[in-house]
Amino acid sequence: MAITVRNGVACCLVLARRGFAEVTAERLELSLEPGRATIGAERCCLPIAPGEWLVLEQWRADGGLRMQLEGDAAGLAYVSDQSHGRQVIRVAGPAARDLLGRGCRLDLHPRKCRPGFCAATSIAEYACALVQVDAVPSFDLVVAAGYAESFWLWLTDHAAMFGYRAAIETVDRP
Amino acid sequence: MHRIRCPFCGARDETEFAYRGDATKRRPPDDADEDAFFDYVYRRANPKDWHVEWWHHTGGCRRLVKVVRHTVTHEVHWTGWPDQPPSLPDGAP
Amino acid sequence: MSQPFRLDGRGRVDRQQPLSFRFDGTTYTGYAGDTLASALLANGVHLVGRSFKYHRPRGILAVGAEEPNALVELRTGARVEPNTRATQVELFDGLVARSQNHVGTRAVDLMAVNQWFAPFLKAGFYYKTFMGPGGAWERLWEPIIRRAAGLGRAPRQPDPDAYEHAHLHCDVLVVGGGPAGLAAADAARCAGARVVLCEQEPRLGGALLGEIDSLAPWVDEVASGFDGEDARLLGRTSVVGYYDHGVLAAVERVADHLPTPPEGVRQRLWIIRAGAVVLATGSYEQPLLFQDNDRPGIMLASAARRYLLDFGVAPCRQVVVATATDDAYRAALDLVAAGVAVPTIADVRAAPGPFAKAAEAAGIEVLRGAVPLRALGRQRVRGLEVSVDGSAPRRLEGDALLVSGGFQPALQLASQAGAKARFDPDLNAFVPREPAQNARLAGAARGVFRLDACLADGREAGASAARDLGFALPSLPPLPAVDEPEERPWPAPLVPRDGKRAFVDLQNDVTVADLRLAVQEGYRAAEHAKRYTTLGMGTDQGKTAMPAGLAVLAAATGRPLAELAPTTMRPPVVPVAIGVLAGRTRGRDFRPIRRSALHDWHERNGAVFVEAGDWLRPSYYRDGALSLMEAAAEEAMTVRRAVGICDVSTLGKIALFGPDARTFLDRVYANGFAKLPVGKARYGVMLREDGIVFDDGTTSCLADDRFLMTTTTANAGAVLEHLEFLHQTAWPELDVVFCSETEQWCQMALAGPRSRDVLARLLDGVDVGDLVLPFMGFLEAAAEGVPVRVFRISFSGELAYELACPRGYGEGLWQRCLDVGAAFGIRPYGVEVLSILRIEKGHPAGQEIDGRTTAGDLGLGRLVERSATGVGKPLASRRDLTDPGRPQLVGLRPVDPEARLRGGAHLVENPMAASTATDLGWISSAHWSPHVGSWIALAFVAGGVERFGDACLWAVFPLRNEAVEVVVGPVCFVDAEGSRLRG
Repeated sequence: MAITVRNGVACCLVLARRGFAEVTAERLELSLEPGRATIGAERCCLPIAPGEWLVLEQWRADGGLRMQLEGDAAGLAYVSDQSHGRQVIRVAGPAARDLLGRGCRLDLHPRKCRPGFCAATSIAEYACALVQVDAVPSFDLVVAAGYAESFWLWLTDHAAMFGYRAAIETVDRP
Repeated sequence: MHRIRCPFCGARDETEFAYRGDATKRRPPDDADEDAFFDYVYRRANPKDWHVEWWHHTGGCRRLVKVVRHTVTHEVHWTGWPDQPPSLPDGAP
Repeated sequence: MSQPFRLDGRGRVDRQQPLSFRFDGTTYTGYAGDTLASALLANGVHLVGRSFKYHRPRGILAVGAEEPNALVELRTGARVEPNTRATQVELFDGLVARSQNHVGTRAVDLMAVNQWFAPFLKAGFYYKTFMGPGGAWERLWEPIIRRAAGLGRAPRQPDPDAYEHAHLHCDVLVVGGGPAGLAAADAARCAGARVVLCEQEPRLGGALLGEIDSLAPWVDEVASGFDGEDARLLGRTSVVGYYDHGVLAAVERVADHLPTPPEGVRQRLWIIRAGAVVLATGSYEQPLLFQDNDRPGIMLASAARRYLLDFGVAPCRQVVVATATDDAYRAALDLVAAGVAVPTIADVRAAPGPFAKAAEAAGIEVLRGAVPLRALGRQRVRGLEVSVDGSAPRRLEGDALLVSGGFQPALQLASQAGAKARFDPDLNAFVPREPAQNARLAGAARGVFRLDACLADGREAGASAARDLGFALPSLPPLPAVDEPEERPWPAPLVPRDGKRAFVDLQNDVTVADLRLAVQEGYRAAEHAKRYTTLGMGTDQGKTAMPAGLAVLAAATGRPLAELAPTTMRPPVVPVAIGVLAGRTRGRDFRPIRRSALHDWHERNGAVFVEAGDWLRPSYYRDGALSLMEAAAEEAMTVRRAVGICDVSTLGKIALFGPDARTFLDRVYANGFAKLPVGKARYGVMLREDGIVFDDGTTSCLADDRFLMTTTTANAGAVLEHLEFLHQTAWPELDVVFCSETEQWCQMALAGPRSRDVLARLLDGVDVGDLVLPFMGFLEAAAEGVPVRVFRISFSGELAYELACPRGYGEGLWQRCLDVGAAFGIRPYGVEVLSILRIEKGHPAGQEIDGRTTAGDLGLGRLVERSATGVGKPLASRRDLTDPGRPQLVGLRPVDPEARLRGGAHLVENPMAASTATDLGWISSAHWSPHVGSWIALAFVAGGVERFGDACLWAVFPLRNEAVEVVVGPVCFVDAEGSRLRG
C-alpha cells in the first residue's frame, strides 16, 4: 500500500446559484449524480452537495483554476479557491479499503464503491472528501490543510499493521 | 445510533448530523411581532409519536434534511428537502 | 501428578502442545485449546475465588460467557485485567492469574466473616443500615464497605496495549456460530448476500462443541465459504450491542489469546451496519435453587459435558446430578462412559424423559420427584441432601454436583433490538417476541432447542433474511441428519421454602430470601426488585439468574410467572474493556490537532501553545527566563509602543457570494449591512433568535456581490451552521451562496503605532495612507508577488491591520513582516497578549459573550438599535432582556493596583456578607495591565454606569478566600477617544 501526499493540486469549490445547478453542470461538464465524480486526465470533479462541486486539478498557476472556472461559469456559479486550504492524500493498494474502513463509515465494498465513487464524509474525526480514482483501488482524500498533519499521523498509525510506503508527490508551484 | 438517509448523500451515520429540532415550525417573517417569534423559538409539542425534525448534514453535504422520525422507536419513515412536504405514516397526527 | 482429571483419549485439546501457567502462585499445566477454567478443572482446582458480598468460596459454574463466579485477575503489571471470566480466557504459555476478593488466601479469606453478618448485608442494606448519624456514611461506613465488597482491582498503570475501531457493512449479520447460526450464515451466503458471521469463541460450533458428534465436517464446510470480503468470519468476536437502525457493535479479541500482542492491536471494536440480522445466540442452562447452591464443585450439567467431551476433563471422581431436564442425563451417561462414577440422578420431575431407562441400564439410580434441599461441603461440594416426594432428607455423596434447571434463550441482543420477552408455559422459559428491527431469531435463541430443528430454523432465518433483501435463493444441499429422541419439558423454576443461602444471583450474592424481603418492603415489580437487591446487575447481567429470580418474585407476590417480564437488558452483553471503547483516541490522538500555516514557525521560535478548540495557538513566546506574566508584559508593551504581530488565522472566515449576499448579511447581523460600501469592513453583532448575543466579527465587502465574514475562533463552525440553517429553512429565495474559507487564508494582525510603517515597507509602492486605507478600510495588494488582503481593523485599540494571504504563502509573509519590521522593533505576540490588549480596550470576547448577555449588557445597545430588523431583534426587546437593572459591562480596577483580580470573582458591597442575595455581578475577564500599571478587569455589575467611581465594591473569590476592593469605571482603559486606532 502506498500513501502519498499530493502537493500541487489546485482545488476549487464551485457553488451554483439558486436554480442554475443543471446549467452550471452542463457548462463545466460536471456530474449531477450524487456520489459519482467525473475523472479526466487533468481534472477530477466531485459533486459534494446539490449544486456544489469540488474541482481538483493539477496545479498550473496560483488562482488559475479559479479564474478559468469563474470565466466558464460567469453568471451561473461562484467559485471559492480552496487550493491552499485543502490537502490531497492518496491511499492506494489492495488494503486501502480495509485501512479506510478503520475510520470511514461508508460502505467501500467493491459492490458499492467503484472508480468514480465520491462522497463528502468524515474519516475518524476528520472531515474529508473522498474519491475512488481507479480500480487498484486508489482513493484521493481531500482534508482541511490545518488537520492534514494530524490526519497523516492517524492514517500512517493505522496503516502500520498493513505495511505501507509513504511518499510525497510534488508539482512545483510556478 | 441512527442511520439517516440524506436525500443527496444516502444513508449516513447520525454522527455526521447535527440535530436542529422541530421542523413543523416555520420562521415568521422578519417583521413579525414578539409573540410570533416567541412561538417559533420556544413552543414545542414534544410528541411521543411521529415527529418532523431538522437534521443538519454538517458532516456531509451541509444541507438541512427534513426527517420524519418516531420519537419512541427512532424509526425513520421519510427524509427529504426543506421545501418538500413531509410524508407521514398512516395514523400519524 | 499433572492434570489428574484429564482423561486420556478424550477431548479436542492439542495434547502435543502442553502449556504452563500459574494460578495464585502455583504452577500448573494445560494444553493448547484449553480455557483457564478447563485447565484449572483438569488440575482439580474448583475453588477459584470469593464472592462479591459475603466472600463465600466459589467455583466454576459454566463453560461459556455466562459464567457468574469464576472471575479472576489476569496477567500482571500494566496489563493486569480484573474480573476476567476464566471460562473465556484461552490458555497460553506463561499465563498468570490470581483469584479475587479475599484478604489472605482464597482458601482462608479473612473477609469471609461477612457471611456471618449476612443478616445485616441483606437486600437494600446500604439504603437503611448505614444512615446517620450525620457524616458517618462518608467517614465510616463507605470506606468499610468499599473494602469489604466489590470485585477485582483496577490496574494502576496506563494500558500499554493498542486498540482500534473499524467499520463494517453487510447485508446479513449472523450473531453466533452454533448450529443455527452456521446454517443461517451458509444460506444467506449461498443466496449471494454479503454476510458477516460473529462467533465469540475461537472455534465455530457453539453447542455442538459439547456434543459427542460435533458435526465437524459440516462445520468445516460452512466455514470454508467464509474467506473473503463477501463472506467474513469474525472469530473471538462478541457482539455486545444492538443499536438503532441496524447498527451493532462487536468486540474482536485479536490478541487476548497470546502472551502479549505481537504487533498492532489487542482488541478491535467493530461497528457493523447490517441490512438484516440473524440472532443465533443460543441459550443458557439455568442452575437450581437450594441452600448453599453456590459451593465450588457445583456445575451446570451441560458445562460438565462440554468439559468432558471438548476438553477431556472430568469434574471429579464421583458426581451427583440434580436435574429438571433430560439434558443432564446425557452428561451423566457420557461421564459414566468416561469412567466417572455417577451413582444417582435426582430428578425433580415425577416422570423423567427418554434417557432415564438408559441411565438405569448404566447402573445409575434415578430418583423421581427428588427436590434438592441443600448442598454439603464448604470449600468444595461434598454431596447433596434431597427429599423424595416429601420424605426425610437423603444424602447423596459426591465431589461434584451437576445441576440443570432448564434452558433460557439468550435474550440480550433481541431485547436491545426491541423484542420484549414473554413467558412460554410450554417451554417454561422466556422467549423473545418479534424484534422491532430487521432481526430474526434462530434456534435456541427463540426456544427451538432440538438440534435438527435448530439447523432447519437457522437455515430458514438466513434464507428469509437474504430473500427479503432481494437475493434469490439457490437450492441448498441437505442439512446434516441428526437423530434425537423427543425430550420431556422441564418445569418452571422450583422455589425453595427456606430461601436463606439459596443464591439466585451468584455474582451479586442475591438470595431467594433477599428477593422475598424486597417484595415484603414493597418492591414488587421486577425492575424495582432488581434495583433494590442488585439482582442481575453484575457484569454477567444475571444470565444464570433471571428466570429463577422472576419465579421467586412471582411466588412471593402470588402472581403467575407469565405476568412477569425480564428487566430491560442493555449493552454491553458481555464486559468490555474501556480501552477498546477509546480505541486510538487517547494520548496524542485524543483529538485531532489543527495547525495554522505558521505553526512550525511558532514552534521554532519558542511559542508555548494553548488549545483553542482543535487549534493550537501560541500563548506567548518564551523569552529567556521571563515568566509567562513577564513575557506577556513585554509583548504587550511592544504593541502599545512600537509594533507587534500575531497569528489570527484561526478566526472563522466565511465567503459569501451573490446578488442577495448583502441582504442576507443585513438580516443575520443585528446592526445594518445594507449600505456597506465596496472596500470597507464593518463590525457586526450577531444575535441568536432568542435575542442573546451569539458572535461578533468584521465583515468586508470585496465587491457588490462578494463579502468576507470573520467570526470568532470558537464559533466559526456554529456561525456557518447558523447561516446555513437560516438560508435553507427561512430564506431559500435569497440568491446567495457561501462557504468556509478559514483554511484557505493565513491571517496575521499587525498592531501598534509603527504598524503603518511596517506595512508601507512590506507593500513597497502601495499607498497605505489614511486616505486610501482609512480605519475599517480594505485593499488588495501584492507583497513580492504574494497576493495580500489588507484590512484596517483593530482588536487592541492601536493603529492596526490584518493581513491575509493564501495559506501556503503564510510563513513567507510573516517572515517578511518581521524582517521589514525589525527596524521598528517588531515582535510576535500570542493570545495571552491578545487578551490583555482587548481587555485594556474593553472589547468583549467569549468570556463576555457567554450565551447569557444581550447587546445592551455588552454596551452595544446603540449600535444594534439603529437597525430595525435582523435575527434576534424581536425577542431581544422583551422586557426582561431590556431591564435597566440587568448587569452591565463595566471596567474594574482594584484600589490597590497590585491586588490580583480573578475571572469568576463576584462583586458585593460588603465582603463579610457575600451571598447570592447580596451579589451584584461578576468579573468576566481580568489581567495585569502593563500599560495601566494595575490589575484591570471587565465585569458585569447591576446598574453599572451609576456606580462609576464608586469605591464601595469588593470582588470576592471564596475559593481562595480573597476579597479585593475595586473601583467601577468605563470599559475602556486605553485611548477612550479612539485617536490611536484612527491615527
